[in-house]
Amino acid sequence: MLVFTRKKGESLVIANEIEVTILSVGSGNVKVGITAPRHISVHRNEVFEAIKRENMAAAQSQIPKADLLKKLLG
Amino acid sequence: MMHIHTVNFGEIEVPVDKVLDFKEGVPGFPQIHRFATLDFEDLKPFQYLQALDEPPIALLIVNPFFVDPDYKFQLSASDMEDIQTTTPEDVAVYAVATIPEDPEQATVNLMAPIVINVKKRCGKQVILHESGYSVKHPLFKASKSEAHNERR
Repeated sequence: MLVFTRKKGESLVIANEIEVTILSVGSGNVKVGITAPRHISVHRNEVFEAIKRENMAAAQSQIPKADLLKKLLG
Repeated sequence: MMHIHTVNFGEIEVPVDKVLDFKEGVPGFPQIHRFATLDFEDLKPFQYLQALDEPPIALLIVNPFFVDPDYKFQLSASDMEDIQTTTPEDVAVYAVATIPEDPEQATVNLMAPIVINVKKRCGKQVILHESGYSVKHPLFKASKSEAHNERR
């Protein structure tokens, strides 16, 4: 992993088109601003991982049985 | 017609004009770019979002408004652009559902709905970061208050 030390207000440029700026540094958290072209999606990692897990679980999901459907519709 | 081998439903035929293009795949399955929705009369209100690429998975999906009648969100400009739409009228919305071994614990992912441009036949799974919706919203109404507490 490439590691940089940055101060508040300083930034990094990735692949000429993504700019990552340190907006503020607090105790235990850092506020980061990202400027990127629209086609680059940026997500909080834990949110993205949670969605990945849900999709994988959904792909393994049971086929809904008649009693469940009845309960849902009833 | 596309001839597809599926895990859950055996061999199926999908008309070419039913193929949905997911440019980015979906989280967890970025390699799947083509899906189709499958309807089974005896599985209503559920449908399946069947992958037409490998692996041949199928995601159980449901109309999110069926689960939460007040469900609403705004598509970002870039999400609209990704599915080549300018108007919500062309957009169908589905939530991915998970039924574990104990069906009482079934959940739906309201934070990351599947949006499909029904005219252009393309879609994506969007992430509603600041919406407060849960990735594990309980399917059954009895546990709705719990669902509310889970919102962040």
